[in-house]
Amino acid sequence: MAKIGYVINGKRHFFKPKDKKINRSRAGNGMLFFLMIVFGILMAAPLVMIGNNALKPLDELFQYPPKIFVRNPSFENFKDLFVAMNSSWIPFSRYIFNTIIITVGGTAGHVLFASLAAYPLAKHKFPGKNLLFRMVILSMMFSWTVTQIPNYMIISWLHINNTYLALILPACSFGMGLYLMKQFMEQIPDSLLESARLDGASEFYIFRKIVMPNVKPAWLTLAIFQFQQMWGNTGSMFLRDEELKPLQYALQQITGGGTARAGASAAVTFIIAAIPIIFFLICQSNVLETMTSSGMKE
Amino acid sequence: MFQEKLWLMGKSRLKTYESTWRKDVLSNQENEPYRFYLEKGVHTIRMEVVLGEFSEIISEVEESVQELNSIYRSVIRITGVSPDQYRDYQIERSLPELSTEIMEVHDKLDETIKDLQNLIGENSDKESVLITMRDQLEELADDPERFAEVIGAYKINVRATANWITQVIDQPLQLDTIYIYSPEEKIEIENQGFFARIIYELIRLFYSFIIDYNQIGNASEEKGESITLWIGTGRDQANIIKSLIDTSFTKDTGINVNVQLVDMNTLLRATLANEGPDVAIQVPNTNGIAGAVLLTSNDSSVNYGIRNAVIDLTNFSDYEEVAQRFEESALLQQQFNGATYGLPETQTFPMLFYRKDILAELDLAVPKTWDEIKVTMTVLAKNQMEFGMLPNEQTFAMMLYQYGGEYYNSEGSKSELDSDNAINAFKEYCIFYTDYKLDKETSVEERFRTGECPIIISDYTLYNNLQVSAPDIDGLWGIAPVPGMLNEDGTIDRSVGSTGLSSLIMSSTEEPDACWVFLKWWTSSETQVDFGYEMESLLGEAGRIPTANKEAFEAIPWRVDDMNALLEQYKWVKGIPQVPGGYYSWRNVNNAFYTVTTDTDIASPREELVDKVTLINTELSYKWEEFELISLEK
Amino acid sequence: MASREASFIAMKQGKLRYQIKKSKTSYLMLAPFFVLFFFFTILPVFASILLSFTDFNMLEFPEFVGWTNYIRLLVNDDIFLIALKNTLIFAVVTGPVSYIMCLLFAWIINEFKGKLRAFLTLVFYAPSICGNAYMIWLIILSGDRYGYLNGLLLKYDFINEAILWMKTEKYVLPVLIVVQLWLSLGTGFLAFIAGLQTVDKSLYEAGAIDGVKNRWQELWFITLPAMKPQLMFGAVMQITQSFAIADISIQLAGNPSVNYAGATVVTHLLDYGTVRFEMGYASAIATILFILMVGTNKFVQKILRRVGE
Repeated sequence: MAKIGYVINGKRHFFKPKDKKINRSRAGNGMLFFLMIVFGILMAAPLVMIGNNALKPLDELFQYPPKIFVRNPSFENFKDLFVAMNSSWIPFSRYIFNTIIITVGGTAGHVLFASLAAYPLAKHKFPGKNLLFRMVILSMMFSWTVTQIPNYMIISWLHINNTYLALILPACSFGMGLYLMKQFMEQIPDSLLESARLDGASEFYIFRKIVMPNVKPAWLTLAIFQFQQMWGNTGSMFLRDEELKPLQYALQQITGGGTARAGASAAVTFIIAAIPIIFFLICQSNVLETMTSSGMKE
Repeated sequence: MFQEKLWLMGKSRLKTYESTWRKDVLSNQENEPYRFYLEKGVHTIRMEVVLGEFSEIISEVEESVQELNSIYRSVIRITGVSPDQYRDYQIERSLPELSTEIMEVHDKLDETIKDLQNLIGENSDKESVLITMRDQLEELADDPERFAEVIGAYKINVRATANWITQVIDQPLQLDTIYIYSPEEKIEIENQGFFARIIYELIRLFYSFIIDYNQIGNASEEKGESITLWIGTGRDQANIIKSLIDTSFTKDTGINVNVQLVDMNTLLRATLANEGPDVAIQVPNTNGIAGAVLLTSNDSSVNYGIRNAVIDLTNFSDYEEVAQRFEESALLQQQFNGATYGLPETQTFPMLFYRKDILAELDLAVPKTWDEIKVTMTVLAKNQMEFGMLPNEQTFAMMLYQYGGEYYNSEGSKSELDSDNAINAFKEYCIFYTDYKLDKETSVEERFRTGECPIIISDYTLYNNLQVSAPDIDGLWGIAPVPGMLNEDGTIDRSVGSTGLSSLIMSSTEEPDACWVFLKWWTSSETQVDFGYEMESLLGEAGRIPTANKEAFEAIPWRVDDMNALLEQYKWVKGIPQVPGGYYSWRNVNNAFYTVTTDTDIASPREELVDKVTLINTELSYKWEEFELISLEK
Repeated sequence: MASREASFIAMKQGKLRYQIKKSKTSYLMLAPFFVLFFFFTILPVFASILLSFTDFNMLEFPEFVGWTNYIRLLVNDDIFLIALKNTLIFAVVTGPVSYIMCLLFAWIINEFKGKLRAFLTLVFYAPSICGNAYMIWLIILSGDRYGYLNGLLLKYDFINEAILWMKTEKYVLPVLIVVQLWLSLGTGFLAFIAGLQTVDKSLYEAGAIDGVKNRWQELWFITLPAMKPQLMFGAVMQITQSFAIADISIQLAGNPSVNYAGATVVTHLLDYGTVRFEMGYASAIATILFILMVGTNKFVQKILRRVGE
């Protein structure tokens, strides 16, 4: 059994499973709860607004200054949007298909590649380890606005412009994912891995069966974040062919119709915000599930 | 050959609104299908759209809305727009007939609701808005003093009612096929089942990988020249343009056009990577989204041109002829140093909007000069109203040109904003906000709608938007040329600046002549008229295109009064010159403006502006050096 | 002797080569990520640094100008100084405060259980999810006298006239700081939540036994040390974000903002990059910013090493 402990005042302590909990005062809990409610309302306000806007009939949408809550809710905006989308020459299902490819591809690819690379950086020794890691961290600090143009040129040079890969491949190599996974993986006790190696497991096996399950909250979090990035990236920079565009891009282009499409635009905003939230909720509940027992598994 | 007219009763349509396809057989009241005897020869089927039984209800509601608005206005003249809830305004005493008026509208609405229920049954979602309004009226008729508390809610209800009209008029209908058959035949139409539809969608999905969408509608078999077109606006525009190209351009010229709807911000880097289009249309200024560029001048053409990214159109032999289609002012924005780098597509400029009903009540005439505006402002103030004009590039340009000022010297190498005329214009511009205390940040359109600002100055495209965003004041407003400066000889100088979207031919193209043919076609009167017509039928009046083509502009179905006003203003429309470093001009004027209006006591308009002009000139010199332009006037 | 040196070097090289051979699997695992990383991150960064030594108008081939951009930036650019000052204020104020807020809220939410916790996480992460969430601030801060904030203040007589929050120089920066704090529960927040859940529960129990009295001690002595890697991650993210603040400034105050009151290094960069067509100069700004961030990072890391002591 692995020995896990902590240090207080220079003394080493090891855990002894017993039933004792640290005192949590009721008042403390109550105050916390109250604080949460207050802040929570402030934080949730934009979500509420977006939801309400989508249900507002046109006259309420144009009100200035705008009110948060809708008074006469109706689904007109969604109906309008539906009609507008149907009139395009590409079938709607194609947009959804594109979105799935790009979003799922980018998210899965990113989580996979980043985790795969994080493992050696966290747990192996090899020449160039520090250099590589430092490069990743440093590169994240260079302003993206400026690297956009060379980025575009490179993608064009690689001949992947105007394809799905233009969105998926760069996504697979975001530095943040690597960093996050490495930090979590560092906490896995070496002894776990050693014993597996002694039993003859290959590195890939260890990665799959031991490392990843143990950092599940981390890669689920990464998935949430990456999904949001992919979903939020309309691809307008690289995709030009109509049949390649993801849903969020196609929806956004409806707003080009100006005032006449104001209702549909509100519905668009809602849909674009709702999808990542749903994904978030799904993942978050999974993050919780893994935590019914103690942190590190054998 | 004979023709027979038949009226389709709208009644059955309302009750049985369906979202799936269905078959309707033209029948009489007893459901016996009509029979037509068709002799040998050619026959014509003509269809007309009418509101049918609904039209009476709608006009009743329209009248009610007008009366509700008038009640609103008489009340706010006493209470103002945000009344104090605890104050006794004595509304009944000042407006003794108010109660009766309210009751009249209430009864009318009641009737309307009953008619509606007869038509489409009770408890439909369509009646709730009217019921809310009617109930509120009942409350207010009993106690008009309650207006002080509920005026806000009242206003909202009135708007909802007006919006109801727009919604109800909007009855979408899709026709798939018209069958003409002899009585013995049976035609069965069945909607596809759920699974059939899924399979159909899947098949469409599959085909989407195979079909080359750019070849759709290309009748010609031979591969003629092919150009890539980028459109910078939205899906609706793209759909229409694509079908226009398919049905008229490609057919007539044999040039294939690859239509792509893109984010114009990528034009820059695409050009750099040699993946840009051949032609780009509906290009906004380099920092804007096409919908939001009404107020700033469009620098794309010149900025791309001086960096050799677009072709100088004056090189084409028939350029002069094509240039005749547009006003000089529209072309100015596309020109620098003798070259023209793009063609103007749209042209917009400010107009004066006024509320006919309110001005009539206040016994005011539409102001023609700035002096008259100032007098009007005092009258408005007494009635708790204001003049609406926002400080922005459009407003400043108007002032500048009316005072005889210019942005730059004739070659564009030095700023002329420190001339006396310009400084006077700037002073006047500031005075509106420092002395007359006009609101600097608000929605003048919204205030126009509520009546708080019965006179506003706004871009003329507001005309189209009001149809969608303010149906409750339909028919109660008009437009006029902006106020001007009275000259010594009695004429009024109504100069204003203008801006618009551009069309460009990229210099990386391999088919410049084909591109020029396309541009000529695109900016021609027929095409612009067709385009505008299609946009309007799709999006309603809000989709109207402020085209720059002079002929097409006049072909738009403006109301006569409005057309006259627009043409009158057009005489005074000027362009805003674009020069390298030009972005610095407005930025600094704006900065100077905010310094003056925030520190009114310390900052003098003259000093602030002159300071900034130094900065502008530095930037202009720097840019001129960068492009190795030799100044002849310095 | 030369041969002894030579054989020494050969041995070292051999050792290196041996090590590389042994780490074959490691390299294999690293490969997919780093190949892509090279193309899409490293290469562009190098290209940008190169570009900073050129004059590049984005439509024509860049022209080499040496140090001109840097000299102009550091000596001749007044606006850059304002932008730098603003950015530093942002970094110093919002950086640590956001960081602590992320930590605090993550820790508090961690106290709740099950559905409530998921819900609260969502609520607090909400502003970051809806990309345009700060639009709501546009409405609150509207300069219209009927805007929410103005309306409220006017009603209770705090002010006489509507204030143009985003166009009055002295208010722009404070308001932006508030909005940034509101938005700050982003990646760091989620990482902390995940991190808190990987802390071994038994540590807490052991701590209870050994005399840890209340929540705060628990936090400082047990939770934080156990989370050091995540803390580091959060810090790097926070610094990167704080120095790169631009979006909210542009959306709320405009670019350029009135008299450059809301200018930050990145908005200044955007100005040169997108409005003035001077990408070479913008690259120079980016490089300077980069150096600044790296320096700050080193500094913060030193501090974080001392957590738990």
